[in-house]
Amino acid sequence: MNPLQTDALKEIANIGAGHAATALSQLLGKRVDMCVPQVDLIPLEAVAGYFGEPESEVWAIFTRCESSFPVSLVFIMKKRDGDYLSEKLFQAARIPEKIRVLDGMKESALSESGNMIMGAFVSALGDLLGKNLSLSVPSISLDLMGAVMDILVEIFGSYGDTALATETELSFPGESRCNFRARILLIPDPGSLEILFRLLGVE
Amino acid sequence: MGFHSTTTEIQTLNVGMGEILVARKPDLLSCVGLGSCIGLVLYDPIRGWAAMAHIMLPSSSAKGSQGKEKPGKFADTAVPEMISELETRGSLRSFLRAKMAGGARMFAFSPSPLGSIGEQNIAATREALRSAGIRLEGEETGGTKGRSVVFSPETFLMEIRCVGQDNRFI
Repeated sequence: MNPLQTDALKEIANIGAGHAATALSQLLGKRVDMCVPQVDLIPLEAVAGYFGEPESEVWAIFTRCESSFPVSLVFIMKKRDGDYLSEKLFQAARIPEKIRVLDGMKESALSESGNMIMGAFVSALGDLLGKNLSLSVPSISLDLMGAVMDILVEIFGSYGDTALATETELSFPGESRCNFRARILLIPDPGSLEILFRLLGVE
Repeated sequence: MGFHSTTTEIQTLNVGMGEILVARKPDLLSCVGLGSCIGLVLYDPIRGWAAMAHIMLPSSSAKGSQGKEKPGKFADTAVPEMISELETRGSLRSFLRAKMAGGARMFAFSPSPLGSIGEQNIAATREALRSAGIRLEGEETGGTKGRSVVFSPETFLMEIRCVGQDNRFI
């Protein structure tokens, strides 16, 4: 990628993540800050530990946007941050305690949150490109970071030795008693970037 | 002066993605966070050596020479390399045994008509073992959850850990 294209990709991630941050902020009832998106070229052997300890337990929400430039989106949080987010959704939706503790309720809450957050991301992308983009039903997992990151091998393994992703970190601003941190990865399919850049006029 | 006692420290050797490591007792071999990847062990019950590979992809054929640089990355190159490592240490191929874990489908996502990478890895690893004549003694593969595994070259047991589940042994 040339510098113009890298910048274009960062800008897409910026716009998408900005809307995602707003959606997250509404869910949490608190301001959410985002850092400048990074574009990462990750050697496949290094994906397991690239965004955190491979042994660490994380909530990961995965969704696909099938379009002329298919992309995957992954929303990743440490276990306690995901638990916190699901609690907030329960509160917002006024779900009674005895229902909250049923099996799979956290997964449903996070799935719903994922829909809202990544839906906002993709909607912003669609507006930017003048396309009607939609998301697949989110797939959610509480698992080891290393296992979650294998998705990059799944997507890029047959094509080469490197995975490409943009990463944006969302968190609460400043000193906060309850610190929250989440990551959004935007993972274009191999071949999607060319189409995307053509649409943006930065070939 | 006085007695000098030594404690043999047990080391757990962590096998990174695409790697192959070899060990014997009291050391242990481990793979952390196996999603679609496969943690494959070949072990020699007689001489006590074991090799563990953290396999990422089914076949080296699309990659040209990468199979030689990083044989542990692909199922079809990992098995011959592991056999070679063990034979160097005096193992006889006919006595080697295998155990494997992993090959999960982490998300409900099917990029290929060939099945998920996890499923392809399972099939390719089984085929590589079959064509090398290595007996598969234990297997825990598939599903949707990641696994971490630890293998003991002393007990020949592979311990499998999944988030939210009790540890189990194969």
